[in-house]
Amino acid sequence: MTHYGMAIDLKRCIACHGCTLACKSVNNLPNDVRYNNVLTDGGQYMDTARGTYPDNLYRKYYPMSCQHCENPACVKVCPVGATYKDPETGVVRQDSDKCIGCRMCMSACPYTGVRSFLWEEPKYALDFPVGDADAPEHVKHTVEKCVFCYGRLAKGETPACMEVCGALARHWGDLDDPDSEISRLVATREYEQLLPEMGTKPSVYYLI
Amino acid sequence: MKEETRATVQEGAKRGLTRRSFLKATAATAGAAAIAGVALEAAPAIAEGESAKEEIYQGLCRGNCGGGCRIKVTVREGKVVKTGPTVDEDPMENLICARGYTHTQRIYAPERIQFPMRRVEGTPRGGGEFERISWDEAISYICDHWKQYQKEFGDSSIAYSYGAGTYAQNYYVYMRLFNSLGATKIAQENDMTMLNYSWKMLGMSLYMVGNSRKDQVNAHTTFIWGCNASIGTFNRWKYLMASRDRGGRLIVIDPTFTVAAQKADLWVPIKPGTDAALAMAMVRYWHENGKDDQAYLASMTVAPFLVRQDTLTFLRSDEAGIEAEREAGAVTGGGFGLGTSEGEGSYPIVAIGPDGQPGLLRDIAAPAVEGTFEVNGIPCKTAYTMLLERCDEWDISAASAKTEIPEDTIVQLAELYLEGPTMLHTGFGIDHRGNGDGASHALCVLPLVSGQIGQPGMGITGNLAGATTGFAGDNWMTVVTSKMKPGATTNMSYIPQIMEEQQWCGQPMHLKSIFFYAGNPLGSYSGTTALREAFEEVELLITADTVWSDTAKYSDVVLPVPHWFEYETYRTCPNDYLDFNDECIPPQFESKPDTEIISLLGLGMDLGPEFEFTNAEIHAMFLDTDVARDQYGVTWETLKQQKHMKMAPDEFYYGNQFIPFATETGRAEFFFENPVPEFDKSRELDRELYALPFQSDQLEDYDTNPLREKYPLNLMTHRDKFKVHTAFAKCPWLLEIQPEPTIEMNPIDAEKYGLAENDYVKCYNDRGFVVLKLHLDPSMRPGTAWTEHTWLDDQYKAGHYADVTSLACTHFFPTNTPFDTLVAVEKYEEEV
Amino acid sequence: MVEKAKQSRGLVVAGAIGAAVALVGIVFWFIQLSGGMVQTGMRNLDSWGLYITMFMFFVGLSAGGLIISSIPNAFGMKGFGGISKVAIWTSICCTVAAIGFVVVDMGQPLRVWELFVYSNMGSPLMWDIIVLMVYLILSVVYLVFYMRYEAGKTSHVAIRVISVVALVCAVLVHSVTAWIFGLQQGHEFWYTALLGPWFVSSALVCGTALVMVVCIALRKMGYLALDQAYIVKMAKMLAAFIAVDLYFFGCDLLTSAFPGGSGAEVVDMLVSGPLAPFFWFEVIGCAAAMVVCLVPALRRNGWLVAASVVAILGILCKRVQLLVGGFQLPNIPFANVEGPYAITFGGNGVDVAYSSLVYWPTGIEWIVTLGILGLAFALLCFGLAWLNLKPVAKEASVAAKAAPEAPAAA
Repeated sequence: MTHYGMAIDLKRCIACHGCTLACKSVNNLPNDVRYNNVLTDGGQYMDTARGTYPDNLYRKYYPMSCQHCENPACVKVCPVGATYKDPETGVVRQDSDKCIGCRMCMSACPYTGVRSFLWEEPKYALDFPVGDADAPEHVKHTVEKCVFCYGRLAKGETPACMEVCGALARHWGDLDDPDSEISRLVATREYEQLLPEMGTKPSVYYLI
Repeated sequence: MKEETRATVQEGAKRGLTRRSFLKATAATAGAAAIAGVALEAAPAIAEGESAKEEIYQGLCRGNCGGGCRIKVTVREGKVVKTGPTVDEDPMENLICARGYTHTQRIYAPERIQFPMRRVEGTPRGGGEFERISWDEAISYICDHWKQYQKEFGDSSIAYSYGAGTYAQNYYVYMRLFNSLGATKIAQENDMTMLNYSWKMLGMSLYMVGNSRKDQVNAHTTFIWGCNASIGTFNRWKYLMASRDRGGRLIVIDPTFTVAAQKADLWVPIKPGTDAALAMAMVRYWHENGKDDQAYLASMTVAPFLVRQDTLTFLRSDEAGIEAEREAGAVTGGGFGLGTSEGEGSYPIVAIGPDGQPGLLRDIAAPAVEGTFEVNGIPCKTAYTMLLERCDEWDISAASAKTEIPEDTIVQLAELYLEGPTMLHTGFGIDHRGNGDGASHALCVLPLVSGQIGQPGMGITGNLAGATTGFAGDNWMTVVTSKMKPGATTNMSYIPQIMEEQQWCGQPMHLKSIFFYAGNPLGSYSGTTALREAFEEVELLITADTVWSDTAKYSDVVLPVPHWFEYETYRTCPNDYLDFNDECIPPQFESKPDTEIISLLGLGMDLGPEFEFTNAEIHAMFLDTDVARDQYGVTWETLKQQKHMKMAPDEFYYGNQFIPFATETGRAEFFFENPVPEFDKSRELDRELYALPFQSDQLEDYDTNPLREKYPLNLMTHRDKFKVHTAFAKCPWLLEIQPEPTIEMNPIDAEKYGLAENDYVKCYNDRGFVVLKLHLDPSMRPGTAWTEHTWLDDQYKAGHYADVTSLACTHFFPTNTPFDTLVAVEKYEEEV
Repeated sequence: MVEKAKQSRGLVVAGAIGAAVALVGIVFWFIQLSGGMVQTGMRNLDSWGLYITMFMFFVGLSAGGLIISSIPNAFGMKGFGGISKVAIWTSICCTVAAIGFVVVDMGQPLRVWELFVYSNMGSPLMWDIIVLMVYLILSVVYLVFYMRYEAGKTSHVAIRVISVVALVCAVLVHSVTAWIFGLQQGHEFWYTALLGPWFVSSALVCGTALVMVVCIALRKMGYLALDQAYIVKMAKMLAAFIAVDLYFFGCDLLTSAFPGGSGAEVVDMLVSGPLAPFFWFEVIGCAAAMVVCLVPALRRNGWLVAASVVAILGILCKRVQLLVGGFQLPNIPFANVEGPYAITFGGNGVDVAYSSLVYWPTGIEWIVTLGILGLAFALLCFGLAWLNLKPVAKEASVAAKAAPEAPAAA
């Protein structure tokens, strides 16, 4: 089996937001909808630190999108199976044509903010679709999120965020293949995962 | 938990892989994609995309952020639908950033200038009332006025000024016009002090004053000093990380806890404006402890040169009474022919040999680098001795007091620098302050005295080096015509003075018209309050731009220029490749490429058939040299076909006997014989002071400035990752992430001034004000605050950041000094 | 007869007013659907709001009411069987309201059929939908049977069987509703095994209170006759249920607070944080209601009605605490939560967004909510007017006859 996962090297990430924009562009995301955000663990506003100058300052970046959990909380609770785990890749997918908009998955997912509900008719900066020709459709009043660019995977490409990382902080591959780069990184580097106590077994590893 | 997850991974491995249909399909398409990729590299402008309806082009992103990225441009049904990285085989060279993905929003931006426009007569400048005119009207309007100005006020009454908003060959073509008109050049010297110092000291070579940026991986120690590296030198970050992966260390010297500081092995917060003291203390420490590299100093720098104490010039054979022929300057190793000396040449340099006797330096294997001598009755010291004397003031404790860095840390820094190979990764933080001149000098001395230069992983990098300076095969005669007339050159900072005095360097100068292109000085330069006032007396302001910038809005005539991807051009700088820019879609609206505008204006000014050219013809002319054709196999046509041609070698180690410095002496010239102001030649400089590094006060943000009582806070900017100068400032996608101008301030200061998170804060001084949203950030050194460089006028709640800054500068190598700004802050109570 | 006609006309008029309000609500629901749910206060980080709060509340009311009215029948206890029909009808109305709240909360109500085609039986939401449907149908069956029983067309045993099933289903329906929240490990405040029983106890509190209020009101209207002793009995039960409910609350707070970890945040949020008004209203209100119910001197109708209303509102406050509180504590409170879809009061940083109530309903939510309340009210009134819900004289004798047998049967 294939189990796609991602490892993000927090030592390298400088919050350039390239991944956020790649994702927005390629997926033709509507205004104010982002599947991927670079969060600042620091002060109250993006890029600020916390602590006191100069000896006790802290700031860390977490690029965050769907964690594609092995044990996804969202999949269990969706009453119609609109969010589901792809058995062949481990990717947690989302079916906009099926979603009834109950937002059960949003409240079930412990990783607050990785899902977007389209609260109104999607608006776009331009009056024609941009991004990949087969970019997903965006349906009002349904839930969306990162699907590891499933359409691109099917074409043999990587998720869009992979092709841009200005810090080469992102690694992508098959966690079930012990020889893959990502498996080796996970085996050799120290890492953390988000909210492991939730038991969701995320497929995104943060190398530290 | 970690254990558990790891176990799962291994379990998966044990289960063995059964690659099923999905993966097979994946492999098949991957293969197809790879073939398509090859086709893209070698083949015509239009390659088959994933769908037959998609066309793929190559665009060049060129706001002069330092990246110079190739962009893969996808066009569907005549519209640019996607801009992204050109997938190189080398991921290290895949440099695109967040901005690179937003070109669709720039190409189809509502703020695009669509037609030639003229300010409605009788309405005030900047009042926003424009009328659409035809190109014919625009050109004849401009040319009629210009001809009249020329007649009445002379050639210098017409001026031109450019930024770096379209860093490709199309932008040099303007010179062809203005050289032919004998027009006045108004340089926008952003960040130019340090660059000029480095060029004067080390010469401008293939990669400016250093090695290829790729050489960063070879560094063991990297001093990131005065550079917000994660943004300012974003395209080097992968290489910085690669050097760290190989065991290298990052040392960051910066007043602010930048992201680079966050990532560093050692962050040394320094008091702003005291960098020279630190650098000079390091030099003094090395010498005192015998750790200076005297062999390198002797062979590759002017250290052994004898400086006449009476004239502060180098002692030459004729003065020393040694018989010798005049010699031409050394030919540089850079390959650009820069630094060669023409004319009759000068007498050879004299140095002291091991025997204590003066002789021609070229004849002495191991010249004295230190000492005080008398030669032929002339008191002399070696240049190095003079440097050491200059540094003597800055012992560790004095430097510690000045820089507010603990003494131990200064010693630690000095020692770390010697654990090479060491790169000095510096940027423009230092010269954005009014005392950046002496500090630029001091920093550039460090690699020389330590000998950390001239080999892999050593030298200067950051904003000063690593980018190529251009293509050796360019035909610079393209900017010259038979009508060529010498024109005056000045600097934006001097415009108020010129307008008041109506003269420049003793020559009358009545500026009547300024043509702005490739830049937005009223948004991204400094001292705009004073500038706008000065422009009042300039009768005709013209701006050629793609979008309604602050400057365009303030102009009298506005000419629409296409977006970068709407016309063909090529670029040689800043990467080691010649890159072609396709016309991905035709110019939109009535916009015309710069080259066509130049042609129209040239013909309008009756400059004759030399201005009858098309965009392709003038570009072809630029590549029409023997060097390009024979050495590199480059012509406009081959470049158009191949799009991406390697020009500069990766292995290039600047500043050794094989690749000597591209200076007149072939050595690093840290002592300036005759410092002359770059622009204002009528000014006398303190020659003794400017000969060597020095630590001086800033122009405004100095401790004893009485202005501090009124304006206690130092306001700086940081290079904004969501903009390049003012470009990209209105991309909706970027505005989602960072919606409005902010100011970051230490909570200590905020409390002092009664401000809280999310308050709108009015920052003001005598020059102007700006309203910014406050975010508390202990990263900021108490007493300092920063905002983004720079938003457009209508994006500020009120005021403009550039209005608060000054035009003050020093005069050797002037630059604008935006960090050197004091303001007062108060809560903005008006309706926001 | 004149009296009855007047009464009936009054109910019809009241029902019509309710229906009119419901119509307004439906109009605004369409506005919500066409203009988008962006018009509500809900956002990605607080993705449920007033509707789901009211859903929880009405399921509770419904279940509670049914349980209370079924117990006498189920166990053959001598009790207030006389109000059974009214209670069942009230439950049905509440269930309809609860379902209504789910429907208006859905983004794609036209896809509601998918629930039956693509049912994911693993989802607590699916369980709830099934149980709720069964419960609704069962309630109707129960009512019909009760009427037939009154008409002497069916046996007492059948009523007892159905009432036992209804009782179980009522308990289940509220437990399952609790599990929608209680099985979510992602929300500190929700993830507790206690939530199921606690929902049942809360349901009993508001169910008892509701039945008591309805009984007193209907008696006053002359719609039914009821001995005061039954009211006192109900008051005592209410006091007991409040005691249990508060006890559960205490247990939960202790478990949260004791380790002092992230659970302590929950306690802070409730006791002194943004949810404190709702917390203290519930605790003090319910305690006061309990006192009223227990002190014989205070057990006057006016006081009892007040106590019941306070208890019901207290439980509503509990629902608000539960829903908003679930979103009030972000798991990953890092900066860069911006944008109009992220969080109700976003745009000024994480701390600001969470410093007061993270969610507050907008006008359209209030109106749609009122519309559903109107719908339930209209149903209630029309039912009272047109269905034969009054305890018939015969019924009284049946009940009287049945009562002595009860202990033996139980």
